Amino acid sequence: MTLFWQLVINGIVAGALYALVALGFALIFGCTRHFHIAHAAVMATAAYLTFALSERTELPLAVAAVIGLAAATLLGVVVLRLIYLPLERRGGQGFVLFLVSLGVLILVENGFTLWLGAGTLRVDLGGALKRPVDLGSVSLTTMQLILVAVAAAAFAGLRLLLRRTGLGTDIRALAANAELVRILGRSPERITTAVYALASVIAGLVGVYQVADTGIAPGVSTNLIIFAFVAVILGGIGSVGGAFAAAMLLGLLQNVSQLVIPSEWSISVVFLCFLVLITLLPSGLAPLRQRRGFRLAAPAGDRTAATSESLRPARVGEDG
Amino acid sequence: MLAIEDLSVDVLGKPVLRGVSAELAAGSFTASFGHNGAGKTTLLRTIMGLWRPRRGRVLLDGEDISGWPTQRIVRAGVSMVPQLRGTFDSLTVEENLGFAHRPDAKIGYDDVYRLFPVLRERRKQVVQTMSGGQRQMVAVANALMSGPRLLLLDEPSGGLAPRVVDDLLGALKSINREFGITILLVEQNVRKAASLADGVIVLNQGTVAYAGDPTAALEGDVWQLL
Amino acid sequence: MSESVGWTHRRSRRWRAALIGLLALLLAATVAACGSSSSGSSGKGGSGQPDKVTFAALLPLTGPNAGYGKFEVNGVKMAADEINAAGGIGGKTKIELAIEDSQASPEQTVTAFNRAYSEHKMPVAISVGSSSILALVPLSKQRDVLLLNGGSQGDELAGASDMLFSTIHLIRNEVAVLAPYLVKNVGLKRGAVLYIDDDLGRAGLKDFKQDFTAAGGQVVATASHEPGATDMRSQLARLRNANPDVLFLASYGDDAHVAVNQTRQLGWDVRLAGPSLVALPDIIADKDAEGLIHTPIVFRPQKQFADEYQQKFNEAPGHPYVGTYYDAVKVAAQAYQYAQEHGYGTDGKGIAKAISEIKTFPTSFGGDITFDDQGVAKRPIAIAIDKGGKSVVVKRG
Repeated sequence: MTLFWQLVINGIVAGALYALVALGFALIFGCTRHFHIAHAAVMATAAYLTFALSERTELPLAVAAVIGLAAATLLGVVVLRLIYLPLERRGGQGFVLFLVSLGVLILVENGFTLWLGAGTLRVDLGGALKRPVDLGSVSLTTMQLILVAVAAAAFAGLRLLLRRTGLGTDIRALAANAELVRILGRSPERITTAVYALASVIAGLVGVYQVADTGIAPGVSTNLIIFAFVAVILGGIGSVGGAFAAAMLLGLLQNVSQLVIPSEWSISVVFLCFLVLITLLPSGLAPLRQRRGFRLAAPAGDRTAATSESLRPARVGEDG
Repeated sequence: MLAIEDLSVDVLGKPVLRGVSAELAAGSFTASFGHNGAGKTTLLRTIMGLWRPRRGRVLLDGEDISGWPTQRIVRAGVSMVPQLRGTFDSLTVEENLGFAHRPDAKIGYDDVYRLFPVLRERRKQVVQTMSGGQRQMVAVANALMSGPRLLLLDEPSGGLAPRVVDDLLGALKSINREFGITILLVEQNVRKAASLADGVIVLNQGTVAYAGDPTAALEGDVWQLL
Repeated sequence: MSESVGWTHRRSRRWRAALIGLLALLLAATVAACGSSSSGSSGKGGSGQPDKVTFAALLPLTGPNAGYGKFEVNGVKMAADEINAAGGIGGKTKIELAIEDSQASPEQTVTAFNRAYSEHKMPVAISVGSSSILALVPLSKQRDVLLLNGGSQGDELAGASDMLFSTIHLIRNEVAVLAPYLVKNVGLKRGAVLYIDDDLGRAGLKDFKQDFTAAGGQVVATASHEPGATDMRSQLARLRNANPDVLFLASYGDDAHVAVNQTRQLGWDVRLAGPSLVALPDIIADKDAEGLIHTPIVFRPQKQFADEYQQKFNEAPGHPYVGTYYDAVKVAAQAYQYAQEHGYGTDGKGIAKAISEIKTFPTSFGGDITFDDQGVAKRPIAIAIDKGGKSVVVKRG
């Protein structure tokens, strides 16, 4: 039983990490349908810069982390403004944009690998944060506790922002009907930029956490983005809350499943569950929630489905 | 207030409008008809700056607005209710109106709610859950909230029940009268639209087949012109 | 996919590979232009001793293993330069190196081999990576090229080909020394294994199970982690649950470091043990690894060697690979001379035959190495314990 609870805790920690990445990815994907795999590069940038600035210069870690976060945010925005938007104006969408995004990711990751090497890089926090905290018979580190708290705060904060602020309304409007945003005289580009900045800050937080806890190395951020992507699909496209819940579920499944199956199969099991679930529930988990959800775009009704220009998949309504 | 001069527009490489010219007087109510593919939607979208003309100009109060970004055209006082997708479905009525609202606009929430009282009752309701007619009211209200002098509507009554169509078109008439907003209405429902309009433009295969008095349309002669 | 490259770190996951595969296509063309080449031919054939011979070095110059590739290439270069400065093999035959980028991936290694062969028809190829080397085995037989490995410790390399020799011993050689020590000398009877899910890790698991049990111990739990994993807490929690006396780590590189750290982060103070793969300087220096019982490969070259290296590459010979790859070239050169003298022919087969007959070679590590009949260098294996951030030898090999 102790082992079970330890695995649950590990699952929540892993899930929190996936969830933070998924939040930003879902936000961007829900608003723009950009398959922004370079989100991983944003995360990596925060991690690598935090490492480089704190280990290679005299800067204190906190300052390095802030600069890393800022640079990551800037990267997200720059990729949007200088690459995606011009590309879209020339008619590049969907798969083309994904390939370009993949190119950015590889470029950025390899750039950092060339600069800082391919090993796992970590910043030293002096150990206190990594010492185990005893919770009865199970334990986790202070660092992990912070991660879970940050994930919860990011989720609640984002929910509040989307529900209660003008920017939140703008973002939800963009997700619901980008063309109408333009027709009503507002700038979709400007809102999209805000979305990228927001998502990139969250990704940057993940990067800073990653470099301070388990370390950053080539591929680490890409692995996270794949989990995030699965969570977004599983959670229901356009549903930030669904993505968050699905990410937690993935983390739990991956860890608790080790109780009964060898660990080398745990990822396979996670993906198998994903396949089964997505076959049974093609729209993900979100439609299961009957309460007013935490979603960006409304599930499209008959009206939208009838519009040829709409690329959004039709789905049954919620919000009853 | 709006003059269209020799407008030619290609969409996806194919010519859709070929040398269209028309004029809308300030405060007028113009209805535009035509078969599918005649170029009605293209005309509205070009006025809004969503498509660029290959040739010709769009003049707003004598100023060439073709080539302006949509944002600037909206600020200059032109609004559009697009076909079918004129609302943010996942937002509440209030959020819809709030998004579209420009603080310097002469029209505010009260005006819109007076025009469509049902929207006031349902202002906390998510648009997705409303009836087709109510959603269309939200669409028109959205466009009004940006404070237009010229309102373009792309088949607002599509798919609505006849009684609902009457209400909606009636509302357009009072928008035209009460607020003095110039209206260009693209409609399939020729008789109803023509009965409200004081001018008619009939498009056929990208050219103006008829422009002038609505009575011809009322008498059902319009289609013979094509 | 599951590649094992000595200490070398593999950063890929099966399901990520599909994604990256896309890119590989794009890069394929570029790579063709990037490989370094060297002119000249092996000067094979004819009577008397040729003026030059080409040794191909198919090593990771780019990619995640490039950091180790640097040491490997330097070791190779240093040996070749030394021999050439003395007039060449037998005072006559100069060694020319064809250094190609293998990226330590089987596909790239095969490509690099073919490119080098078409240009130089070399009799000797030096490479790294268990899977890469295994991929070269059929080619090497077909083309009559001797294979030398100085970095991979996967058991499957033993006896894989009579044309293959390793100047580094394999993981099973280390476990055979380490496992009985844990049981008999330290009294650790219950063992748990955390292994990396690749050839090398699985080999380590198999070896440990066999040798630990044979010595009277019992393996009570095993768990694996993906290469490049950053979260092994659940695996470790499960292992802890079996309440073992010792946790044997069959992992390497940064992954092993993560395993060590996360063991302690769980608040688990179990005794750790592992082969030389785990005993990286970073890990030894980490206080989480205090007490780690391991089998070190200690590379303390002669001062002259160290100075020469320092002067050539502007850094200390900081990794055993420098030595094992230096030795690989020296072994090949000595065997080349022997084959020449004995009329075996200076092709791959002739040199391989010479190595089998000479058997024992001097090394840059100090002592000799002796190749066993499976082509693996045997050298004494010591036991060390991590004490205060230092690897302290407690039992000489």
